[in-house]
Order: sequence, then C-alpha cells, then structure tokens
Amino acid sequence: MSSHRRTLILALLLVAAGSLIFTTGAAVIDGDADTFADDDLAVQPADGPNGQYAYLNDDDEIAIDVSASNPNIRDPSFEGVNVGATGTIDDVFEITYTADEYAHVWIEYASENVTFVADGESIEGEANNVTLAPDESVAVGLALDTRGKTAGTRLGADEFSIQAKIAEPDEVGGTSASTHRTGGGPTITTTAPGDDRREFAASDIGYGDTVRFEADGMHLDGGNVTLDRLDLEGVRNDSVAVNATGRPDPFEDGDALDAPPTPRSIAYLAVEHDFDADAVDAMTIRFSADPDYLNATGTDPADVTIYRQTDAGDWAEKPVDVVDDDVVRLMGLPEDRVHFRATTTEVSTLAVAAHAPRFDVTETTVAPAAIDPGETATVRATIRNGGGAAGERTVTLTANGDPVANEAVALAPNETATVALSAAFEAAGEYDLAVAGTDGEADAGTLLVGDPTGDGGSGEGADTGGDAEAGTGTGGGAGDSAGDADSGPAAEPTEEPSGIDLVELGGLLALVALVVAGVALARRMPRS
Amino acid sequence: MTASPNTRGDRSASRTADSEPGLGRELLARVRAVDLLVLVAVPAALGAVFALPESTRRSLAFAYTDPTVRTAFTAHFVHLDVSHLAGNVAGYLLLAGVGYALAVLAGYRRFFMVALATFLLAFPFALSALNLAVPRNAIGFGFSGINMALAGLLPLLLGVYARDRFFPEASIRALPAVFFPLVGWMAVLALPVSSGGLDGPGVAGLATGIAGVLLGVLYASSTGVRISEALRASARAAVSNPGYGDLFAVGVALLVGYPVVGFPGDPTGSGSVVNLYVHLLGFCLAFIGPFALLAAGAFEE
Repeated sequence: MSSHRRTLILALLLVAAGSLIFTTGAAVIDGDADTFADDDLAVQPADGPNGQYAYLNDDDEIAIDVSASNPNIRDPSFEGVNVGATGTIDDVFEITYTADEYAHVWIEYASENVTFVADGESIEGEANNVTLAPDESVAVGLALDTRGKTAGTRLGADEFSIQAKIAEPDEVGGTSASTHRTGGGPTITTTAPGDDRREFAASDIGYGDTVRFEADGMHLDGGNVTLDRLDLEGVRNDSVAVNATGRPDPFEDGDALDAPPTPRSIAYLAVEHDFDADAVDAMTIRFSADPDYLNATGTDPADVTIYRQTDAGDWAEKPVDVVDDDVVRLMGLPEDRVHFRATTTEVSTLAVAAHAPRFDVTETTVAPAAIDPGETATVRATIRNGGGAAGERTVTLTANGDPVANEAVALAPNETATVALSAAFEAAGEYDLAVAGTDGEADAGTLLVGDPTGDGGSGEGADTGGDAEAGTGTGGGAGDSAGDADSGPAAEPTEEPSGIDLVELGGLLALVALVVAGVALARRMPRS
Repeated sequence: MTASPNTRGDRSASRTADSEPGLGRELLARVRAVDLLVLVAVPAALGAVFALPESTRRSLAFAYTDPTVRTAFTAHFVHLDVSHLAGNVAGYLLLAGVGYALAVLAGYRRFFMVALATFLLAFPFALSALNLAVPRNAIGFGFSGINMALAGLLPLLLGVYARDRFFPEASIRALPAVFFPLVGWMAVLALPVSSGGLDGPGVAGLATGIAGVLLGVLYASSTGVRISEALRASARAAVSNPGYGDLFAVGVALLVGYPVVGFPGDPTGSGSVVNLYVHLLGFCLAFIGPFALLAAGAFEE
C-alpha cells in the first residue's frame, strides 16, 4: 500500500477565462459542462476512464484532481501520482467549440512537471494550438514528469486557463481577384470591380457546407458603412456565384425603404445570385460602420437594423446583432469600427437602416379656449413615439410662431405621453397655437385673449392705434413696455383704451360730407 | 303756427325759413356762451390731463385688478398717447357739436346740458363699475365711453329735432325703433362674419343685427309708424329744408357712421385692446336713461 509520502498532489482548476468570448452559438454539449466565452467553449470530463480525474466542482468549474481527494475516485487504494515517474493520462477532459467559426484553442499553463496534451502533442501556448471547427471537440490529457519531486508536494500551479481565438480568415480579398482553396473546403474567387461591388464565386462545395465570401470592406455608404463578409450556410449546390452591390441611396430600379416604424435608411445592398432560393439555408451578412458616422447621425448601434425587400415589394425586418467588442478583438476585426451581423433565409435587396424615434402629436386640447390678458392657458398635447427607437425631445408650444413654453418628453417605442404646456398671455388678441419639436408640427387651435367680441376681422384702426401707442417715445418708455407685452408672458396689465381711430374718424367725416353733398345735389334735382 | 314745416310759431321772427344763413343766425341767437364754455372745457380738461407725467396718468387709469372710486372717474379723462387723445377729442367735438346744435334748435338745450353733465360726472363711475363684471388684468382709460354716450343721445336729439322742425305729429316713443337696429348694426360691425360654427362669433353678429332690425320693425309697427313712409318723409324733409335739413342729415350720417369708428372689427393693437364693451355700454345707457325721461315728458319746454 502506498503512502502519501510517495505521491504528489496534482489538483488543477480551470480559470474561468473571461477574455475568451466567441459569438453566440448553439451548445451541443450533453450533460454538465463548464462553459465560458459566451458559452461558445465548453469543457467537460472526457467520456473515457480517465475522465474521472476531471469533474465539475460546486461552482460548475472544471477541476482536475489526480489524488485521493477526487470525489469521483471510489478506489480507496488510489493515492495519486507517484514520485519519480513519467507518463501520460490521456483524455481527461474535452474542449468543445460550439460556435459557427473556426477557432484556435490552446492552454496556458506553466509547469515543468505537467503538460497538457492532445493526441500526444502539447497544446500549451498559442503556437501549439489546435483548430476546432464548429461543434468539434478535442480531448485533452496530461503528460506527467515527476522525476526529482518530493513526495507529498503539490505538483505544478493550481490553475490553468484555456485560450481560444477565432481562426484568421483563410483567404484574403484582393483588389482585383483572388482564389483560395482551404484544405478540403471550396475554392472561392473574389473579384472587386469597384469599391462598392464584389463578385463572388465558389466551387467544389461540399453538400451542406458553409461558404464564406470576404467582402473586405465593400462600400455600402462610402467608408461609413461597409459590407465585410457574406456567409452562405447549408449550401446544397456544388458551386454558387454571388454579386453584391452597395449604394447609399435606393437602386435606380428599386424602391426606397418604406416600413411601418419609419426607420431611417442608411444604405442599400443588392445581392444577385445564381442559385435557387432553396439551395441555401441562410445568408449571414457581416457589415460594419464608422463610429464617428454613427455619432454624427445620432445613431445608437443597437438601433441599426436590416430590412429585406420581399418579392411583393414590402420590406421585412431582419434582426441585427451588434458584435461584441471582445469578439471583434478575438476575430481580429478592425477595432475602430462597429460590427454588425444579421442572418436572412432569403436573399434579395437589403436595406441597412436605423430605427429612429418618431414623435407625433396625436391630440391637443387648449384649456381654457379664451382667457383674459394676464391669465394662463394650458395646451395638453398627447405625444406618441411611433418610431422604432426610444428618444427624447423637447416639445415646444408656439403662439403665432413664437415659442412660449416647452417641456422635455422621453418615450420608448409605441409609448404615449401627455405633456402640459402652460403660458401666460399678456397681450389681448387671437393666438394660433401649435406644438412644435415633434416630427410634424401640430396645430393646437386658437386661443382668444381679451375681449371675446373683438376677435378676427379687419380692424386696421385698432392696429394703427396700438402701433401708435407702442411708439409713444415721449411718454417715458411706457409705450415700449406695452409693445413688449405682446411678445411674451409678462405681468404688465393689458391696456384697454376706449378710443377711436383718427383715420376712421376721417372716414366718418367723409361720410358726413358725402351725405351733405348728396342732400345738396338732391335739392337741385328738378322735382316731379 | 305757420304752414311752413320748419317753423314753430314761437320761433324768432328774424329767421328766414328757407336759407342756410337762417340756420346760422338762429343758432347764434340760441347758443349760450356758458354752454360753449362747458363744451370747450371738456377738451381743455382732456388736454390738461394729458399734460400730466405718464406715470401720473397711468396711476389715474382704472386698473380692474385694483379698482378705486377715484380712478373709476379719472380713467375716462386719461389718454396715454396723442393719437388716442386726438381721436377722442375730434369725436367729442363732432358729436357734442352736432348734438348741441340739434338740441338748441329743437328747444332741448337743457335736456342736452343735463345729459352732458350726467355723462361727464356720473357715467365714468357707471361705466368703470360695469367693466368690473369681466375681471381681467388690464387697465382701462380714455374718453371714448363718454363719446359713445353722446352718440347714444344722438337719436333722441334727432328725434326731438325732427319733431320740432319737420314732423310735429311724430312721437318720441317710437325712437327705440331706431335704437334697436343701431345696436344690431354695432353687433354686425364688432362681430365679424366668419365660417365658425353656429355658436361661434361667425353668425352671432349677423344674428344680432337681424334681431335688432326685426325688433326695430316690430317696435315701429307697434307705435303706428310705417317705416318706409317715415324714411321717405325724413329724406324729403332733409332735402327740402336747406340748412336745417342738412343738419338733420349730418346727424343721421353720424348716427350710422360713428359705430363704424367705435366698433372696429379688430380691436387689438400692440399690447392693447380697444374696449368695445365700454363703447356699447355708453351708447346703450345714454339712450335708455334720457329716452325714459323724454318719454315721460320731463324735458318738454
């Protein structure tokens, strides 16, 4: 029976490696697993007998323990790794890659006594990485060299980490054309007749394979928005050809984006293809935007979306994911851009768009509809955000075009709110009220201030009188204050002069003169 | 009594019945210096008040939010700018001048002077007080309310003048037949026709105007006056009586024309609004009170 003095302690814990983040994919792991990197990497004990050395601890972390403290080892005679031995424990745990990219996977661990191996080869360090296809696993074992170690001591460090990196693109898009054949994969030809056009062709495609076309920053809206890659998934043809063309504006023979939440179109992408609709399962579009451009246009990356034009001419929205910064780093994408990914099952003209808030006034009420000078009137405006993005606006009440009150309102999509805009009106008269600051200015009706019998009409006289009043410079400036009262809310009382206009009085005198002249004329007419 | 329609038996023999100088001479003979002094004193007082500093004048205006008995009176003699003052003085001279001439020629000088005194001394309080019925943050001022009272007196003076000069058989009691259409006329002027609803101001002016005319017609028929005949006779009288007829015609023209001036369609100015309410009050009160006294025979001379 071996004693503890003859064995070493080998207990390792996988570091939950937050930096290992992949794009989201479906997990194919049966049973419990230690997943990380957005669940795109899963680690679980291997199926074979050596899998017992690995187990998930209470924190669901993978732990490797080759000692008697391992709860999986029921054999009471097992004591651990012997001193002065070399050997390999194969297939202790498996790393499975569950996303839809190729990934290089390796293990970071520093110990001269313990080496992580796969198929007998070390996988420690990036140089020794193994490449995993989607849903591919690698079984990892341990190579031990315990020569020169003292019994009872801990063997190696406590923790190790698994590192992964999306495999670099196999082919590089050329300025004119490039052809690349990956090992066992299809032959892909990319031609770039212009900045905004790519012609892709792929041949020797395995049944159901994914074909990846690198667009290499094809312009959709100049360099502001570019198409970076098109992936055709589940291709059932032996060869496919795809032409992609980008435009900031609708194509000459196409329609402009017109969809219910009134998104703002950013760019259009026409995808012509030589395959039938059912020959490909789906197309994933990867595109990116200049953050400065997004900022300048007030576009939140989360509001960027894609619409596909259906055969009927309608625009159907496709969900768009913003690619996480860590994944951008991991995939070696340009970090100075915002990257997006969208998938569509049918391929046709697409519009890159941004959801925008759209604030409309749906109802307004004025209360009261008539006030005395100096009183306050309140306009209640019901405002709805009919757009696809949340937003905040400052809604302004205008009287005869002049702003008199404002209120900020923030609304989520399809949310409705009522704002009360109150203002005092000093100067008598009729005010045309409107609610501005929304996407369409809304008429809010008419407010009558002052004598309700005197509204409207063509009273030049009153205007002239009022003007003369405002112009009374000799009066010590009071005329000015009367004029100011018209321009906005103030505490000044309205002036109610009871008077008549000189010009109209002249008209009256003319009438009197006419009557007298008429009487005189009538007097001279011969009587019958 | 002579057969001449424009003379009364007790009138001065110096008058030549058919010439304008006759009107002038008769007027000259009947006018009293003290009356003229009173009449002229009003514009003088208005001018004197206008000469006060603006702050003082403003303090004399009637603030509806802070009404006092003193400002209720003084406000009607306050003007803040010269065009306002000039308009009111001109209106006053026209109305008071024609009214006084009609009154003295009709032998109703006392009636006119009492009415004028009432308008100058009592009406300011009444008009200001009635203005408080519509509370608002505003100040009222200006002589126009009293001017409008003189306009309201005009139909009465024209009535007694016409009865005295042209239609000795006519009855003063029929005068509301003139008053109601005049009020309707003011409504038509002040309430513009627009495409508003039935309850809006669009039709209110017209409706009031029609109602006023109908009331006038009803009133006239109830007092046995045939309107078309009365109008024709009035026109004939005006034409066939040089001088006196002219004065009558001028009075009628003022009566119809002054509301156009006093009730502008758009009373709003820069920072101010013309107080049409006071105008209507002045006109109506000035007609109703004196009419009652006249109808009761209080001023038969």
